[in-house]
Amino acid sequence: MSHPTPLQMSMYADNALPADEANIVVSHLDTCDACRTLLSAHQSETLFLNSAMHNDEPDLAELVIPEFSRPASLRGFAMVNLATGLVIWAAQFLWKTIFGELIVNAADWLTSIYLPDIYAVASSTALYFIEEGTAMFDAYLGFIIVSLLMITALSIVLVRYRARTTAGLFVLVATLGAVTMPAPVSALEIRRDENNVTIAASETIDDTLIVAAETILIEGTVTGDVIAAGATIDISGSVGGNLITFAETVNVRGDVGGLALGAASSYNLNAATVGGDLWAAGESVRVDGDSRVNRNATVAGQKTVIEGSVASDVTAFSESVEISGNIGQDLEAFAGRVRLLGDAHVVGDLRFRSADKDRLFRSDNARVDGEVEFIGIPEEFRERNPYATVQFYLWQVARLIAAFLVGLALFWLVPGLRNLAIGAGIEGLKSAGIGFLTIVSVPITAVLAAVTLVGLPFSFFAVVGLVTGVYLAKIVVAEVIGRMLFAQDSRPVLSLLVGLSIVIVAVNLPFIGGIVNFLLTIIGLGLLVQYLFGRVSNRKAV
Amino acid sequence: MAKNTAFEILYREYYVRVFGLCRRLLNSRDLAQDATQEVFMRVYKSFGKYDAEQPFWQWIAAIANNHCIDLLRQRSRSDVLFGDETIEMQDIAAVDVPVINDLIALQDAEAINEAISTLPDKYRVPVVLAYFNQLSYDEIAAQLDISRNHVGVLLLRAKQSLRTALNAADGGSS
Repeated sequence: MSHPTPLQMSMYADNALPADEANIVVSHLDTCDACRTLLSAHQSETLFLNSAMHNDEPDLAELVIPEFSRPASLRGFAMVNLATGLVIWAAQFLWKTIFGELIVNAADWLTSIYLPDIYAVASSTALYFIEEGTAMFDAYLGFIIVSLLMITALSIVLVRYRARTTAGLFVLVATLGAVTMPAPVSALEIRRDENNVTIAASETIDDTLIVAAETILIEGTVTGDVIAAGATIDISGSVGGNLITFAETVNVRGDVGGLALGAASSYNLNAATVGGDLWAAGESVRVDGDSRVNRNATVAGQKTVIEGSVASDVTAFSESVEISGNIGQDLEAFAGRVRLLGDAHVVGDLRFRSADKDRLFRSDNARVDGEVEFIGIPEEFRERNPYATVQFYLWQVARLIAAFLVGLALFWLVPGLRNLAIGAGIEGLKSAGIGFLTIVSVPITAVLAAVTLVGLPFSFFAVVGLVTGVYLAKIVVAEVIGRMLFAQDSRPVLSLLVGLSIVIVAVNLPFIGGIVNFLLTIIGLGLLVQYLFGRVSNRKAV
Repeated sequence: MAKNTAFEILYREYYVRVFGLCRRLLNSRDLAQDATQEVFMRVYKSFGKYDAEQPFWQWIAAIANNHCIDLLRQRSRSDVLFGDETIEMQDIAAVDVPVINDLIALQDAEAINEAISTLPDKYRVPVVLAYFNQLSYDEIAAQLDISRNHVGVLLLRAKQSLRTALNAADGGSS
């Protein structure tokens, strides 16, 4: 009879050999002295290993037990956020109510019968905010920064709970920073009137001007930017910076140093010079013969007329585009009709996107130095049944492959994500709830942070993180679904592929696809957030 | 409040043991400190789920094992932390070091522990689970998500490596 293998001897010494094999070994040992000696050595080895490992290591006796930092729970984090939000809101509300509503409007209130007109309250609040906004913003800025930094510090506590000292230091630095931070230099001039605001020809404003009125006339000079909202805006003076306008009618008759950006029913440049780009949207946008745009013009509207000159490219999205002036570079028109009239001159190429080639009209004297290219309206702009096209299916396959590759990389980099599971009942709802809260609260927090400038990087990362999270969410859910089908981890790659296929089909279902997509996204996002905060215990945990 | 007080007592009582286990599994004092905190964090969160019928150490050690093995997997960025059973089997045949009873018996605990700490993760972890945690082969197999036979192979390979290491140390010192 042959001797037991080294593996059998080792397992037998550890009392771990299956009974049938153990019986064979026992029978052999009865007849083999050499193997009995070997077994005895194996058994001694096991004993020595046991006793050596239980021999207390000397340094453990001197081990200093650190204080246990209790975990700040997700609920605690949410409460802190909520409390911070409430404090900010209460501070603003009290400020506005006591000083804005009660004191500023006290006279009106005493001399007239007070009618709770929502419009009046809203407009007077808005008026007050416009007048006092800068000062209020100043006052709140430090407060908001401190709040955000405290939230950041608390997040650090959550992620690295042991670093209580670091977090304390963070809050201290944030508070000191806010207290010692110089107030922003006021560089704003705000004018507000229900009827007219006129900057007279003799007047010069050295700041940025924010103005709101029924009729706005700027005849003088503003060296900074102008942000104006009203029914009629007429600028015959000069604006050193950018001109941003929202109005029924905008007439620019002077010089603008920077870009001119505006939305209006009728947006006109009359003998105007725009130093930067022109971005105009309106029912009618017109650049007259004596006007000049020194850079690009991007125009969207029902009717676009360019009689003057544009130094660089013109991009027009318009039902009707009429050019009779000079365009320094290319003209790109996405239009129902393009007409080159009179002495129109396009120095570069003309790219014309329309339903039909015949919708381009060129007068005899009109010139295009470069190429004239007609591009039909792309398929995706035409209404049709998406399910009936090959592109749709190719696109879905591409989506599947991309998600599959990203999924493989994700689960390779973070194997712990493979342990996630969608809990039944309340646990599943919790995941969805957390996902929903994330999808709602992150953009709000990001906007709040962006307002403070200091928080801009934070808000950038928050938005990038959210977008990434939303993309990964469905992959995570797909993996969980695949794993449910393939009895846990037996075939991880195949289960991911099958899970993703199911998800892609589900989100493309007619009528309910959108809802399914949303649900899967919030559940997946919830799982990811729970994972990040260590809330999902390992599925092997006892 | 009652939970907090009970937890504080258990924390003080078990901290050193959990730290010792984590250090053996992770082979690093710093990592073990972090891991011990994480283990107690998990214990704190799932304290309500603890079944008093089960020995407390067994429960907390299982949590520590899970966490440390997850960390090792993350560190190796691979789920096949414990190698391929067939290849390990071939290695047994290729490098069979005879059991030298006297040699191991002559070593003090410190030398054996030192030798264990030099083992690669895939051998050290089963050794710690088997001889420190006193888990059965089946329990180790379930914990590491490998077969029972694979556990036997890994332990045998671990012992072979220990013998080689101790043999070399002994040879060097004498």
